[in-house]
Amino acid sequence: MKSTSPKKSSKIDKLSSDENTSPVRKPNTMMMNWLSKSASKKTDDDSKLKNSDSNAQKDKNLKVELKKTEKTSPKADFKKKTIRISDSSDDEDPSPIKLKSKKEKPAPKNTKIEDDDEDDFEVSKKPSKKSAAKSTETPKEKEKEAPKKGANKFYAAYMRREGPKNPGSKPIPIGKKDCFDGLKFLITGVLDSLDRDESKRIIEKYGGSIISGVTKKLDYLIVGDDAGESKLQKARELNVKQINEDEFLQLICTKSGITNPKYENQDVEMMDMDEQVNSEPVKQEQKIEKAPTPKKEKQTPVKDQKSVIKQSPKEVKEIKIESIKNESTVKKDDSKISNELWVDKYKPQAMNKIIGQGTEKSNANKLFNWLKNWQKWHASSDSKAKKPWNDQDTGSSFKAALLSGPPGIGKTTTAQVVCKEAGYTYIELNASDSRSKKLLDKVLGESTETASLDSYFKGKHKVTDLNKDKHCVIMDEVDGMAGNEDRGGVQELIQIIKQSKIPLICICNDRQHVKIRSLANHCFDLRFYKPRLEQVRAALMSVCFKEGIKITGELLDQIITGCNYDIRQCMHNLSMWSSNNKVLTSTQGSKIDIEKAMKDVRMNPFEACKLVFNSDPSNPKAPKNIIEKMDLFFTDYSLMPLLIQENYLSVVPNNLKGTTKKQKDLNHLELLKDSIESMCQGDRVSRLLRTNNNWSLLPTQAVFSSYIPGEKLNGHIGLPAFPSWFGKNSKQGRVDRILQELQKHMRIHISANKIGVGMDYLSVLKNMLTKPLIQKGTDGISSVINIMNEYSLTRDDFDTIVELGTWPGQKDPMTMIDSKVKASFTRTYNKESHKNPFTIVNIKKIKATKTSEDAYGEEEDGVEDDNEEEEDDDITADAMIKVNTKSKAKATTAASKSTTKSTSVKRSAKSTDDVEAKPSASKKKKT
Amino acid sequence: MSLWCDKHRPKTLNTLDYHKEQADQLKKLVHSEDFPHLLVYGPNGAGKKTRIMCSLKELYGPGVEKLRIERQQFETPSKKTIEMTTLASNYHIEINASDAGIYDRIVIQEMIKTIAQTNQLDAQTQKSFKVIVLTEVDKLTKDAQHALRRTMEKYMNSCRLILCCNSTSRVIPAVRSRCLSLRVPAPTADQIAMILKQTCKTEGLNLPQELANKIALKSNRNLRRALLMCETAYVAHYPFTNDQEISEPDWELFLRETARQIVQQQSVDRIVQIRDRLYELLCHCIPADIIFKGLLKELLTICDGQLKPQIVEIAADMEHKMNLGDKQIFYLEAFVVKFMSIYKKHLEFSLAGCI
Repeated sequence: MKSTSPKKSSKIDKLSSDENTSPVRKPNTMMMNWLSKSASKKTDDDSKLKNSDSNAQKDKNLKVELKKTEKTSPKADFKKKTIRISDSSDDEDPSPIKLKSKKEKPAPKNTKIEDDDEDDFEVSKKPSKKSAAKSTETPKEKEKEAPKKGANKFYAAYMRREGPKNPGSKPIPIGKKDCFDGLKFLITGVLDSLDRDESKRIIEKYGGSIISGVTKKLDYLIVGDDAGESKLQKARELNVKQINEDEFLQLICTKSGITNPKYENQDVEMMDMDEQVNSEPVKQEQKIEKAPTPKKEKQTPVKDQKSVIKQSPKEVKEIKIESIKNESTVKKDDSKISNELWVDKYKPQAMNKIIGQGTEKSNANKLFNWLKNWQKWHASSDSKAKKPWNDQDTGSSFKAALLSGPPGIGKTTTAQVVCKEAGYTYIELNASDSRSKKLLDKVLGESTETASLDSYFKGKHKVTDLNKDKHCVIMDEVDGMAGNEDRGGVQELIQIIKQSKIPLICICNDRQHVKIRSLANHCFDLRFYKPRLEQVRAALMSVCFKEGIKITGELLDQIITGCNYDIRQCMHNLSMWSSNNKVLTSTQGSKIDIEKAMKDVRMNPFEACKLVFNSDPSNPKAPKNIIEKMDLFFTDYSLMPLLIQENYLSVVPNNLKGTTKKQKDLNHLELLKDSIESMCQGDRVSRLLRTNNNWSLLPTQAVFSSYIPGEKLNGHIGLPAFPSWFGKNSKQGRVDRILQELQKHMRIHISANKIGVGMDYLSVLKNMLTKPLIQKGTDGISSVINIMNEYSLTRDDFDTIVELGTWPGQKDPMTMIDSKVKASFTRTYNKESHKNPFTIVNIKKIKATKTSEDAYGEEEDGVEDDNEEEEDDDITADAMIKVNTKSKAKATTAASKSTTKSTSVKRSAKSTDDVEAKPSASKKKKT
Repeated sequence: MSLWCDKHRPKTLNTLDYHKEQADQLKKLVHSEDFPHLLVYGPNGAGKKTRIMCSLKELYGPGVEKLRIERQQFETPSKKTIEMTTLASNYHIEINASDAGIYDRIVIQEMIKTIAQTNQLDAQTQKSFKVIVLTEVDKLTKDAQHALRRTMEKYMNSCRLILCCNSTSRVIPAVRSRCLSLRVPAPTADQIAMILKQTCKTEGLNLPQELANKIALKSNRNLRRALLMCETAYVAHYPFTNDQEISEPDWELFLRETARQIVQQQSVDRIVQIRDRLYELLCHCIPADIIFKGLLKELLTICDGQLKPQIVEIAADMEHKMNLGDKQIFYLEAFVVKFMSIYKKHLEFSLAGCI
């Protein structure tokens, strides 16, 4: 470290002059405080300035000026920055006003806050530590500026040292895992940007360890400001390598094999080299390990100051003008810093990073295995030969997968990450694309039957082997395929799935949707469920940490439940609330926001019904006032009254008056009475509003049907039951139709209307029709058929009468009738022709449930078969002929039988011989 | 072998067994020049349709007894096809427009109008008009009834309407005023007993007077039911004995059992059970007002005298409200719960008084 080069010395001169021209700083600590703050502001400005770099480069004039050194390298940026500082030094008039004007520019959040956090003492130290240590020293001192000596000089401050001066100001490079494996570190002094815990964390992260004393085993001694002299001494004796913070960060790069000039030593000798190196922009996110994105570059104040040192005087003047011009564009580019949503920023990149998908049996893993094996299962051309076993666990028989689940829990992310990990390239189609039958056919049809060119462009691919060419289609938001635009889309999708040569991944929210249900039959069904609270909390905590948000676990839990475990929404909410204040506590206004966010969670009627009766204040979802309680009714205003009516009886009220059980029961009945009375009122309101289309009455109904019963019967309720009214109502409708039909059949003979039939005739007819069969058996058949003819009843009507005439608690008369009698009754009825004054409509259609009919049919057939077999014993043996037995049964002579038989079995080669042989055989058997 | 109630139905006005005065009036009316629209009303089983058929026979002769069932289809403006079954002779047609549910207005407008517009082809018949019998008029919607108004006036020449219903209270006044109202009251118990005896006589059976009275009482002044009960009794046990058990319709037994259960225990669990039973009744198309009536009747016989007015009031109130409302089960249940509450309170107090 020798400052023999003229460049260096001149630079230092300038800096020292800069220092000298501001004599105000020394005497007045207050002023110093202000100045140092403004100085840091200035450096902030510099960082912005640097961001404006790209804009600046667009300026042709500037380019001309920059021609010599300017390239798109970060190093060039440094120069520009330094220029501005040296600029003021050139003018020798660093007036406070100028600083002030610069201060007005918005500074990046992070640094600003950190500035505020610094207390007076530390700030007052600053000039001596930062600028003084590096700038105000004489050139000779500068030579010894290696940390050990600097620390020696300011040893007094050691005892009072605070945390790092510029926490988070330096980017922490991402190194390879275990790049510090086996290395031992010791940190002494205060590092510039990292505090002890953080540096410790970094070291441990990469497999290194920290020891407490300087020994021979020690690999590196990280030296910060105010380093312990004894340690340095010992280290020198033991020949332990000493590094400063920048070197340390650089070490991460070098150890993991990344060359990154940004972290190279700030030695004077390296300076020239530095200038020549044009490296790619490096990710500069604070404390966030992420793939590099040039956009987010952020320059740190420390760097700027240090780069001042590096700046050669020649360049200073050249770029001077440019830097001034750049100031105008600073503001614009500020927005670039954080224009990426958190959700995208922290999107999981690996399968095990997806929340709730880390386990072996997770959906992501299933999908991964499915994708891996897809080619094996489906690629083979002779698919019929070895069709995979239909296995729900692996989904081997399916060509497509269906991921379903509520929004914001990572379905799409899973699909994408899994595709990536399984080595598939994917095309993604979502609701923003039109997905009609035609278009789907066009887009998907092509992609499902062709191979991807992606790998050709990448140059990796040499062999044109279809099987190795993995690509798939992700159909996002399949349930959004609706309306006129996407008509027939789902059907087409199913068709495509059937023919596809590549795997398809469909994603939807509502698996129970009618359209999806048809699709689900063709897909490997993977259902995503809401992750558990702990899982989401852990993930969000780490995000909060990375973003520097302080939040209590309790509040975070509230946010998560408030967002209904929607991770995406949680992130958005966090991002929004933290934009004002990095410290979120539950006492703040954010709590109100959380409550607001919570309201948006859709509730299903069953939950709502539960809440109607159970407004326990400890439940965060519980409604608090009449408006919220009425809101519950509006979750489904047609279902809620029924739900409440169905379930109000099962409520166990909390506060029943009375001491004895009897009094309580009485009180309970009283409450029930009031509730049902109110519900009746609500029902009348509902009728009014529906008949007159007077929908403004809905809130009135809400009060009567939901609010009042809920208030009266406030207590515990189990899982609400689905209203039985629906089933009963449709049954009533069905019975009504059947009765009407019955009445129509009998109308000529009776005068009663359908109610009369239902109330008077039914039970009598039932007895008249079934009793003879029960008591007299087959002898009763004729009288029963007689009655049926008299009243023009069909066989179906018979069943209807029996079904409707039977009440619960009564024995079904059909069970009492002997099955043989039943069969012969049906046969006799069918044999006779019945003159009905009406055309027979198929009542089977009307009848929802058919119980007995089929049984009779079978029995009847069986009996008939028996009869026939007895009649024509000569044919029974031949299986081929048995099919035609019915028609042959009527044939009179054996001869005619054999002829018909032979004609019917013409195709059979062994026709006549067999037929002749077998009858004889069977006859033999008989005899 | 049809049932007695159908077998022995009077065919002419002369052979009617009761309300003979009314029969005479009808006869005169038929033979008068001007046969008006008729509105026949009365309870079930009182003989409304019998009377109508008798009158028609008086009008047109035996030809009206040749009945046929016809089916007709309509299409609503909303493209829904409705099928209507009608009962017709050459001279008259019987329609139950309420079968079409909410589309009854279309039936009235389309069907009745077309029939009314066409004149009788056969000039030889006694009358220049034909008759449309509309049953269950009280079940028609208001719209349909209004649609009827104009048709009744306009096509007076070519057709007459005979409306048949249980109660005039649900027939709009405009329709009522266009008709000659004819009330057919239910026969008295004595009349029923007499008819029962007569019927048995023609069947060659001997029905003791006492049993006849018993059946008449049980039948609730419904002649049809009485005859059916009598015949069931005959099937069950013949020769008749006075203390013979008379089987009642199943639904009545069921309803009675329901009432008994209500009185037996007043608790939440019981309400749940009762609700199921009420649903069962409704599902068998037993009209809710009949359920109300049946329950009330049974409950009144059981409960204490001083509660009766209160309970009747509740029943009346709930039944009325039910007609204003939508879902009958709500009101039936409300009645049950209210009864339980009152009854239980009463029990507790009287018990406390005893102690």
